[in-house]
Amino acid sequence: MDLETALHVASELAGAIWVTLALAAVTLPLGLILAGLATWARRSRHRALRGVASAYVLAFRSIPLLVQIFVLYYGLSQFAWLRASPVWIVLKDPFACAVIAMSVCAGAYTAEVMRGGLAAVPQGAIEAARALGLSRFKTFLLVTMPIAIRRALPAYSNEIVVTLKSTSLACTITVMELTGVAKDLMSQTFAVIEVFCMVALIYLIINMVLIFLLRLVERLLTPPYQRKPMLAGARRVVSAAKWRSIGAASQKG
Amino acid sequence: MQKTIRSLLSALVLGAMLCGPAMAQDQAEVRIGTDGGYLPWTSTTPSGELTGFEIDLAKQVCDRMKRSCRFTAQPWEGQVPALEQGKYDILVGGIAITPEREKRLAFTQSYANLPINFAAAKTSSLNGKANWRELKAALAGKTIGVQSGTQSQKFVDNELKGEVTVRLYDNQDSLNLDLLAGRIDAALAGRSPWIALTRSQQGEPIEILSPDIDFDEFNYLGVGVGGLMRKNEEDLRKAWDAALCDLKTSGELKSISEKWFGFDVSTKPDAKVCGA
Repeated sequence: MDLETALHVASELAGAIWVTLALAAVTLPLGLILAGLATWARRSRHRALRGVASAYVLAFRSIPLLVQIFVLYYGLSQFAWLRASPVWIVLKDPFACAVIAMSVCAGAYTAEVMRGGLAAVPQGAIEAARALGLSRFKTFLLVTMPIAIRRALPAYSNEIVVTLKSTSLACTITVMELTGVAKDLMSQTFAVIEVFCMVALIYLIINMVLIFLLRLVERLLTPPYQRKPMLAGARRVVSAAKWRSIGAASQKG
Repeated sequence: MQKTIRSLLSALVLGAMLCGPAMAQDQAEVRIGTDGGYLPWTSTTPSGELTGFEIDLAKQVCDRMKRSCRFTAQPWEGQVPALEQGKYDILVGGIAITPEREKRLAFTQSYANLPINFAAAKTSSLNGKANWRELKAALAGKTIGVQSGTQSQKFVDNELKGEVTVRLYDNQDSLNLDLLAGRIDAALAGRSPWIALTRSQQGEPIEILSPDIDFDEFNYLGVGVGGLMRKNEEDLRKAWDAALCDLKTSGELKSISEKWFGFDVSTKPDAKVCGA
């Protein structure tokens, strides 16, 4: 690949990064809301509500995201009555279809993450809060939720990274995000390896930044006495040097 | 003991002498990669067999080269990497000959060329324009669908950039579905898939728009369709080209074309390859 082509490819890919980020940025909050609703419903007293929520989580965790996107985009558009209805305003748009399919899928996975987080809350802590006279709601807000969030965060950060990567499926329904633009550039230039390596590098950098930020959040949410130093290796070197200098000082004395 | 070794050796030498010429004549089979989902060029029957204009053509070429051929279907995106890795010896499947592609790979002479056309819903009132300029004005502000990596995409990029919204599709089937659903106002593709669509039952609301986009008028669209191969396969290319010359002059290419398209899409023998 000559320099001119490389620059052309790089600038096209840079433009597509925003579409990928926008997809993830819209999908993740929607997924979180859906997951919250599903988790609430799964813990409800009403059996029917629990059933619906469990069925939702089971179905959307089991069906491949690509199939969900295809059914939503190409499948539903087959029905003439649906095309005549107001729903079509949303379903006509490929970006909206991608966001809907991905949020529903992310919601199902995140509901499982939330379930795991809630299950990890020690029963004793809840009982203690109740014994102290806190109401059910206050117990949830002040005891259960903070612990659950802390426990669920590592798994949820994984979900965020997975969602960002799954935005690449949106190119199958004409949303020109990173992978879509890469495929287009590939068929123009035939520089398959070069273009895909550049795309892989971009995904890697985005996710590296994301993972670093998520670690930071995780650390902020950990109580100070439980915090492990982020750069453990560096700290150890520093403290070793400190010991040595103290030792040297005492020898002198 | 020595005698047995000597006789064994001579048997081996004799065997090698007998096998040598035979092996040279019986060359490895030609591995042909194709799309398998682009009627009438190449298509897959419900029983999984490949048929189509280019399958018939390639079989004729193989007959003339006196070599056995094996066909494999794979989506277009993966075909070029597979060719470069040596999984195929040649690709056929409506692949347009372009200068960019020739930089990296080699083409046989062209064997077919047909115009590209816009298609739209009959209710769109886009049809009946006298020339490209009028159609272009009517298309301004519309959403146009094309298949990624085709000459149609190149045409849209060159002629309509900034004036229309372009949607890119992986294959013709998805393009058809969105045209039928009304997600796009018009679509551009080779004439042949539109004929297939408008003749089908579900394609009834769609019509092919005039005028034809002719390759002569927009010469950046290239000289037609050819077989795509690696640059280091000169021998195969020469043999393939010679067979094509033969099929063109004998009129067989024309009859294969009429069988699949209903009209003649074949190109004239390339003077550089076939001679005068």
